[in-house]
Amino acid sequence: MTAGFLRRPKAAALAGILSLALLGGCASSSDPATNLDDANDPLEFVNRFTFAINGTLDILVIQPAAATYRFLLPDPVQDSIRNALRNLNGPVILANDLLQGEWDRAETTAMRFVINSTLGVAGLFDVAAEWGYDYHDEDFGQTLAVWGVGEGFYLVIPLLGPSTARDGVGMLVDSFIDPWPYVLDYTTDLDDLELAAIFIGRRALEGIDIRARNIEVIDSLKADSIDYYVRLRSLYRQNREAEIRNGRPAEIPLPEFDEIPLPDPEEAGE
Amino acid sequence: MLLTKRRSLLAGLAAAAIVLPVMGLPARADIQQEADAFLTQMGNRAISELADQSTSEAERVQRFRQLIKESIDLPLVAQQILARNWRGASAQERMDFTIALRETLIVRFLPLFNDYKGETFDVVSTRTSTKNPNVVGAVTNILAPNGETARIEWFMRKVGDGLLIYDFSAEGIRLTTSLQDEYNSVLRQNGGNVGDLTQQIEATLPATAVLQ
Repeated sequence: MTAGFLRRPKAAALAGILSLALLGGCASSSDPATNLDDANDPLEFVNRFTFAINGTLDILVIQPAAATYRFLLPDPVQDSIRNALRNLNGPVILANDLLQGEWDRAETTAMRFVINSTLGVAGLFDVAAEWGYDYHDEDFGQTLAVWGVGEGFYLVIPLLGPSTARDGVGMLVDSFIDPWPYVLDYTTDLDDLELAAIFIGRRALEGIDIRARNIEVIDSLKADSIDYYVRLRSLYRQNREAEIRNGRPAEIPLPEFDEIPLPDPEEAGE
Repeated sequence: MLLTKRRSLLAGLAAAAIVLPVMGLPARADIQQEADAFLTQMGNRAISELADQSTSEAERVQRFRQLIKESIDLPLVAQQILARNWRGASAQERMDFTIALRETLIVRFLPLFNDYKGETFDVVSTRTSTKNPNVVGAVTNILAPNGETARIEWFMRKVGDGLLIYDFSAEGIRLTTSLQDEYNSVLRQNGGNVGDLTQQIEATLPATAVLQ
């Protein structure tokens, strides 16, 4: 689908305009890192509507599919599927490692791709991890953040869920960087529709795998949230900030005090 | 004369530059060792008391309450979550919110001990705040329900002779930030009514929750 998309100049131009518009939103952000204290959610009404539709789809289709996937497939098979999907993302991760100047991580990604594509049987087995080349994720949204682009406004994308203006642009760019659509386009006789089916299927499988691994976590989040939309928005942003730091610890947060006495700990802890 | 004063000043600054960091080192090392010991002891106690499936749920919940009381600076956690709304709340509202928060933590985290499979609770690193020598962070790796190892960092501060936890983060996601974002969104919509927020939190809790 992406390769076909690229062949259409109008569609590519539209994507370019959309990207610039979204990045404009990012540029208006006051802080190049994340704005955890500021909801920065001017589209909240629309986002909540999309969130509700996504939630309905999750209840009706995604969660049952994820539960069935987990029930039918043994753990090693699920792990192999995830390994293969991660391996397919290797070139995109490598490109973003390089764009961020993360040479050591780029080397790890390259070694992972070579080892797992060969000894790991097309990525089904994560042999590289056993050799010390652990998996890490990277995407163009993170690259933009490293380049100093602010996250921009919060965005809930139909089917894909939480994102931001910057990460939405990143997702679009990653789909252009991904080499597999071009490889399939030039090495097979598949038409655009068949290519689209393959790549939608790949993304759907990624989504179901992630959902299947987090069924209990999401159930628990839903159960104890009084505003699930805001909770997910907060978790998404914090998680992205941690991903952008690549595991480097943030400054220790200092508690803020005021003059009002606290409740009696004896009573509060009884 | 002026030269002499300058020399004295320079000598003083040089001495301070050498002595002060050295003086700071033992204090930093002490609080980090204390944090390591505190967390290790708390983790071992949590595993022995909360993962024991032979005891009743009610008993384990009560043990968790006691553990929270002795390990977490709950009123401070509550104050951070409510942020500026803490100031406008009455003493009773602050108390009720703090208790509802405690019960939320129990509901959220006690089930993690149900699937305990012998994992250890090891402190892998500690660091002292660069801004406050009485504040320390310590990292533990814990096996998450999705089968992956989660990096948890605990933030503690000196209270009296010991340490108390005032926040923690799992893979960069902080407890207080998550709840602050959510609860303050509710408070913005209800005009800053902490009592109403507390009632909404209580509605998510099981009937067995102790709300006083």
